[in-house]
Amino acid sequence: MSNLVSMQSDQIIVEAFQAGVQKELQFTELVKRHQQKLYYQIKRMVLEHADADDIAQIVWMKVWEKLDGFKMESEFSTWLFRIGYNETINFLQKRKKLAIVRSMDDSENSNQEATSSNGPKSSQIQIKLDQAIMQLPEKQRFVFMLRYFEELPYEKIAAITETTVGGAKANFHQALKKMQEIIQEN
Amino acid sequence: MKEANDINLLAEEKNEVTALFNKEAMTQFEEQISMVHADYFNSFPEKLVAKIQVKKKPSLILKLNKLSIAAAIMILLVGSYFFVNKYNSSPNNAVAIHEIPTVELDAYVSNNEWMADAEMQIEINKLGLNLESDTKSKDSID
Repeated sequence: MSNLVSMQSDQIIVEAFQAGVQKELQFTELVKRHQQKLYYQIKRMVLEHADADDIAQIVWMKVWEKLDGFKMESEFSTWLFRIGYNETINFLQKRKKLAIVRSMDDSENSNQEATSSNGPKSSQIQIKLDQAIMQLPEKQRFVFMLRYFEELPYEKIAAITETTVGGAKANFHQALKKMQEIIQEN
Repeated sequence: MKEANDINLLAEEKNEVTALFNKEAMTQFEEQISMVHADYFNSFPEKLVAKIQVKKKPSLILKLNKLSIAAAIMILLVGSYFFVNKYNSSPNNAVAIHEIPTVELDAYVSNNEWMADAEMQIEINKLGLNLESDTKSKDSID
């Protein structure tokens, strides 16, 4: 049964789920197929494993709850990444609000911790890259990661981030420009 | 044609990024991201399914609660129906005097006449009256 399932397309699995045929099995198959890409994309945004794991769980629980209502107007992976995008942005905004409450000293320390958590072997350029990435606005950062690491076409990035293709392209190039500025400042 | 353009565009953009940070730094960043404990992705789906099953349980309790609320409402409705009917039906049991046939009334009176006489005699005795002698003296023609 599981071999049969693995040969099917996402759409067939979603249809089987919506028809109520062994829902948990269909869901597990979808998780197995997409969990790594989703987790890595989230982790690129939040850096810490524990945070990425929490967000990934929230995303998949939402998928479980809302999959019955998924109309398949887009690919399942686009829909999944859109939920992932929204949840990651929510998480980062909450974290930002918490950081505002903290003192400036504390937030500086936490920034240093974030960069030093990459290990003692991190090169200077590596630290600069981490700092530049973390200073990007969330949407630009998300688009940059999808484009560079996942190599997604702009059409798909636009669908995930609910923007136009032109908007997605602009986000990528603004991210690149901003990172250049950050490096020059340092 | 479009696909080829997309591939070229992607390659150009990646070159711009690596020119800025160098390829090694980007690779190292991705290596850090992909560092997770060996069993993480194997156990993740099971962890999710367990979470879903836990989440399902409260909904069952909720369903039971709904059922018990519905049952309580039904009991209240049925109870109040019987209660109202009981009190509405009692006046219906009383029979109006004009509905009783005269024959039955006469029979009842004649059957109970001796009892009424006896009761009256008891009352007279209590009061110590001698109605018989009084009436005799008054009505006597002697």
